[in-house]
Parts: sequence; C-alpha cells; structure tokens
Amino acid sequence: MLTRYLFPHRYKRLGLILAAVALVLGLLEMYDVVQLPHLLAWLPSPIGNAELPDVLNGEKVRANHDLYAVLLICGGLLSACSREKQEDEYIGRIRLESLLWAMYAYYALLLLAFLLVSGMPFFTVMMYAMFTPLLLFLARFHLVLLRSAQAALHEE
Amino acid sequence: MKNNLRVERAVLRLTQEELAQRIGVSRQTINAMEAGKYVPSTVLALKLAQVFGKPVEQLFTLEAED
Repeated sequence: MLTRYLFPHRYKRLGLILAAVALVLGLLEMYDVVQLPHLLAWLPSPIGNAELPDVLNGEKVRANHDLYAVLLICGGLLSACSREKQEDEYIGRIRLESLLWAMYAYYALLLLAFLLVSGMPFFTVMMYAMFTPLLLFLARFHLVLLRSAQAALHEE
Repeated sequence: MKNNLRVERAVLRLTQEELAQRIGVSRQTINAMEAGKYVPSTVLALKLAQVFGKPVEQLFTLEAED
C-alpha cells in the first residue's frame, strides 16, 4: 500500500500521549473535577472575540477546552496516521477497514442521537461528535492489530 | 483463494517471523495469509514465490467462489 500520506512511526507514541492527556484533562475540567489556570488567556480570538466564554480579571478569555481540542485533534491524527513499526499491505488494509468501520459507527451513533436527544442537551452530543470519528478509528484499528498480533503469537 | 504457504514454510523450516523478515512484512501478515484471512497483492505473492523457489500458481490456487 502507498503510505505517502502517513507520518513516520516515531510520531505515534507522541500523538497517543498528547491525545490521552488532552482527553483526560478535557473531561476532568468539563465536569468540574479540576480547574486549571487559563492557559490560553494570552491568545485572542480574531473572530467572535466578545463570545469568549471565561472571565479572568474582568476580561473575557478563552476557556481551556480550546487547548484540549487542539491537542486532542493533533495528537489523535498523529497517532492514527503514523506508520506502524512494520507497515505493510495487510496493516494498510486493516487501517482502511477501520476507517470505514469508524465512519459507519459514527453516523449510526449520530443518527441515534438525532432520534433520542433534542434541545440544549444536543449541544453536548455535538461536542462529543467532533472527536468521535477519530477516537472510534483509533480504538478499532488498534483492537484489530492487537488481535492479529495475538493470533500470530499463538500460531508459532 | 487457497494457499499452501504453511506447508512450504515447513519444508524450508522457516518460522512465520523469519519468513516475514525475508519478504519485509509483519508477522501478522504471514499469519493472516496462512489462515486464509488475507489475499496478498501480486508483489507480495511474487516475493513469496521467490523465497520458496516455486511459481505463484503452485503456492496459490483459485477456489470456486473466486
């Protein structure tokens, strides 16, 4: 398989760590378990400045969730799109199948959400929906990889 | 598609790992091919033929549903 759109293998671990840290911190802060300082207070928003959600010293600033979202997307993409240590055509097929699987699963979940959730709670659904395809892909791809590695191990 | 990779590998006394290294693929790929879960590309089939010193047709055979 042509792998010219994949990153080198060394970025995989870095991406996983970034994504995991962002996901955990994002969830903890969203449900008010921890409250970190406003790490992105220095960064203005060129569009829609007045709508910044948090207030620091009387000034409206960015909430940390912007930072977590950026880290989760960058880390998730790095880990999802890095070559495996031994990248070959079979791994490539698993990757493509997982991509398709993740798309089906994502839209199935979204359809369900459209049917079951309405009003303001749907904003929560939309927030999770931004990251779901990436997370579904990562979970499915690595699960299948792990299973086939275990199958090979038992075979020997 | 059927294949007799396992038999040919046994003849050369190669482990899945050694065969994988020889043709530059992962061990999962060898295992998936032997289990009939994966049909290799022409490139990979020709590499296998090279290792076993046999024509591709002797390693892989079509089945009715192919």
